[in-house]
Amino acid sequence: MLKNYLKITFAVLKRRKFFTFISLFGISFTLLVLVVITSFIDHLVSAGYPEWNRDKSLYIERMVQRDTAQNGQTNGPVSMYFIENFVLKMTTPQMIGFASYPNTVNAYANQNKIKLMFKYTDANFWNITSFDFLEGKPFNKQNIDNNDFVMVINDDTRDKYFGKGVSAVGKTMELDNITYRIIGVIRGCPVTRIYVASDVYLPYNTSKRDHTKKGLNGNYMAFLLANGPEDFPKIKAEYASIMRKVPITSDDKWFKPNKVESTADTYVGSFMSQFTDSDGDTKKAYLYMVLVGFALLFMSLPAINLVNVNISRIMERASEIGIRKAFGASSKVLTYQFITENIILTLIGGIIALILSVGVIYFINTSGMINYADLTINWKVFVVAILVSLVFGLLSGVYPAWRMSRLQVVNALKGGE
Amino acid sequence: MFKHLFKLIWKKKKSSFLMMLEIFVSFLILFAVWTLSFYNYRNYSKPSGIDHENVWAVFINFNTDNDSLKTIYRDLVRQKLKTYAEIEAFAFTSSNMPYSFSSSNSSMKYNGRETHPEFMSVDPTYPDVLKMKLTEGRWFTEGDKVNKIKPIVITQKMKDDLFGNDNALGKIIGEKDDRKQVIGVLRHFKFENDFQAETACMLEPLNGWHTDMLVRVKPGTTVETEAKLSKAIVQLGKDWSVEIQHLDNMKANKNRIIWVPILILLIVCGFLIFNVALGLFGVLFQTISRRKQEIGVRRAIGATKSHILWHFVGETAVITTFGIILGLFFAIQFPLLNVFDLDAFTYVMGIVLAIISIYVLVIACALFPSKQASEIYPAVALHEE
Amino acid sequence: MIKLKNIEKVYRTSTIETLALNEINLEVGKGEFLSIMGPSGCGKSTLLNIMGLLDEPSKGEITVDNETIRDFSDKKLAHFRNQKLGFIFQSYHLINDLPVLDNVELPLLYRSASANERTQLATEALQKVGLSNRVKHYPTQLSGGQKQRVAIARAIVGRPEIILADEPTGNLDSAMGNEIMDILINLNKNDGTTIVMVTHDENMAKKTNRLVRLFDGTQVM
Repeated sequence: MLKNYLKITFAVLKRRKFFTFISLFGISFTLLVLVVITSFIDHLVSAGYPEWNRDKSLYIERMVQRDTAQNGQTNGPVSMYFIENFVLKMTTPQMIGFASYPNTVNAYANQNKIKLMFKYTDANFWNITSFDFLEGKPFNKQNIDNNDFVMVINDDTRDKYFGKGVSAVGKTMELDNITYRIIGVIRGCPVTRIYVASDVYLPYNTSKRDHTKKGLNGNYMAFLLANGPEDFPKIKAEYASIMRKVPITSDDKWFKPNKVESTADTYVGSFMSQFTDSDGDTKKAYLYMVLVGFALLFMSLPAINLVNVNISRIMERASEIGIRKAFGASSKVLTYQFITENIILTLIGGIIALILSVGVIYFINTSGMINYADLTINWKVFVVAILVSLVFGLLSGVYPAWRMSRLQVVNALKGGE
Repeated sequence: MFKHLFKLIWKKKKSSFLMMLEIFVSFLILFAVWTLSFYNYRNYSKPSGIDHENVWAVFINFNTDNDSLKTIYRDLVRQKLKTYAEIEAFAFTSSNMPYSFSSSNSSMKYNGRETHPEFMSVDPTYPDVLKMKLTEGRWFTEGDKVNKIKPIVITQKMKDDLFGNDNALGKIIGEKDDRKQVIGVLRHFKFENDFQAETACMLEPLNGWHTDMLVRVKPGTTVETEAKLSKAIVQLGKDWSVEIQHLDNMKANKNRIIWVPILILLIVCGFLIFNVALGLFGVLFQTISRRKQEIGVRRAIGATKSHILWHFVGETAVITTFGIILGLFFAIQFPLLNVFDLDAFTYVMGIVLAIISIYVLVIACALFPSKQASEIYPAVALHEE
Repeated sequence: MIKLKNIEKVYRTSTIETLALNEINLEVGKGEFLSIMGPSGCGKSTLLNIMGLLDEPSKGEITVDNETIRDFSDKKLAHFRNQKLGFIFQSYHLINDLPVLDNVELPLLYRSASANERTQLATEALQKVGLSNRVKHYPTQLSGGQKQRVAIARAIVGRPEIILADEPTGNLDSAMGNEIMDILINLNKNDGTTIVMVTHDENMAKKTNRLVRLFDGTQVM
């Protein structure tokens, strides 16, 4: 029986080429956009090279100091002073590392200007992240204690500064009149991994000014590595208790803060706290709701279109249905036929969308729009999107099929009014 | 004739409903797209008021928090830059220079009116570097620095916000220690990116702590000079650092942040609308093939080919009109409730352009199937059972 | 009123050629009620279509109301049909989405007539067929006989000189068929409308002034 349904399905799809094209175009284009967008979101949010520990990490990257009397606030990354004196005292995380927000500097080599992103980090940063070292090694506690002027660079910088593939370890590079010795070359990561991406990594103690400042706000963020997500509440609680004990001082003439706020958040949560001014993790549900809402809104138009086209497609075959009924096809058989047609159509659309998505994602990865981009297809989303379009396909197929199958034979033969 | 079309559609409202719904959603999408595009295009077509070619941004870090030290250091840098023949003009500025990612604003009041201008703090040579021209008044000079009341130059938008149609020159805003007097007005000043709307902005003489610079160099100045300059500045002091960027790159960067998302949105919406167009086309084709006999009758009793053609185009246009009216109800809320702070004109243009494009699209989709309908041979259509 | 001279109609497909009408010479006088009879596929409907200017003959000449139809533009043909001809079909061909009154008004839509004029003429036409109490109904709410009466009203609303009826009683039982025939005979007698009717039914044909029989595209009587 199924074989029979399939046979008729392909015959119908072939005969009604235009309708088949419209349906396939709608299904595959909608799925394509959803897959590409979600793979981009996935790329931004999920763990990936070199942040494989992202799901086990909490981030401290923001501190708000409030002056409730004058209604003023300072808001931004935390200072190295704060990390050394408060964050590093924490006991619940398995490991604590820190790094500065990236800054840019120009290096001049062979009459070329190279604009470099640089970042100060501690030694643990290299343990929490999992960069691939193409040559050399990261700097360690020893280097920092010895006050060594060493640096780790990415392959892109090496290629630009020394030439493609030329070994760089042991060579030196001058940044702002300070000479650093290169001790490691890593495979670079996309800038979209904003907490760890940089061209050049320098030991934090070589920073000219970050040491001396004593404020709570600065240019740094801390990575708290946990044994697993189950430890998050414990770590968050410890950080919260530390925050309650942070002394508030200020030597500013005008700004006298009386409240400080900072939370240890998961990766997504840390972005949310920037927008919501509170613990971002509690707001994550809203973010997902908004995203799903947008996806549904986007799908609504192609869905209506699909329903509309399906109804037309089936109504067009009124007389065929009349003949089939006249020869004794039951309503059930007809409904199954339409359902089979819609499932097949959706699946073909899905396959086309998949092929197109692979192409678009390959294009994004190789076009250089984002250096080191490593987008992949999010299968979960793809399957969900296929299921959703199947539901639409079924709904849009079942309703007219049901109406058709109830048609009086005579009317159906006449074209169905 | 319209009544005739209306009656036909009203009777078939159930089957026309989906098409209407599609038009309605498409209208809203096109309304959003056109409003956004028109808004950005209008801003883009206005002059920026500055010349960014051959201007470098020099970010210097003196590595000190002491303002009086910074003043001394700045003079050191000024002395040094004067020795370079390649440099035409230079000015120290607050970090929120054009096309930078930094911003600083606060609210200003005058006679109960309020605005939130961007605060820039710059050297008197600033307009020479960016080749800015005033429409009214004058720029501040070195001599103005000693004034108790700070002279300021404001943008037209800020003038309109605070003073309306009154003359702004000479007006004093602020109180006690912090009084400022308007001495000049700038017609255009787009400092964020090329798509920036008219913005309130206020330029005042340089404050103590700013250490960023804009430098205009002669055309054709090379990277070597840049490296030389960078090194020369760094060597002036201990622990200084310098970064040089080109204003045209900075501008391209800031522009990209605006146009890339718009372009992606346009592409996605374009495909959505194309999808709808294909769907309409298919549905209309089917509708017409189902109504062959009706066409036959109409032809028999005296309808010409063009009657039939326009009959079907007309029916589609009527359904479209319903979809648009429904959409208008929602679209009109944007200017009425002043969502997103755009002026009503932009919304109206968005609505008008959306209506035009929907009609063009739908009629284009209806034309071919309707043409086919008009070609139907009445003798055949009437006898097809 | 209608003059057919040496009319031939050939249908061609890529493989076969069918001669639907062969050497038809026929004259319908003013005020005549002519019926055309013959078995299925004999070319009756083709002949009617040609008389109604819905189809062109492959050969021959046709004159309607002293005007020879030759190389008429689509617009001119449509205008001619609209002014001079009225059509009645076996399966009524009413527009189901329009109420009775609008169906009847339809031919007037394609000539310059004001809305009031249209309503007035359509109401009069419906009175003539005895359906003035059904103006607001939709065709689906009517019986077969009522539908055919609406179709007649539609055919006469434009006051045409000729009515072409293609098996008007074919879908009706004999009582209703007779009713329809009575209306047509009345139109012919009282208003002097020329009527050409294709039929299967000997009894109906007998009620007309003249009978023409077709067999395999050829006039046999």
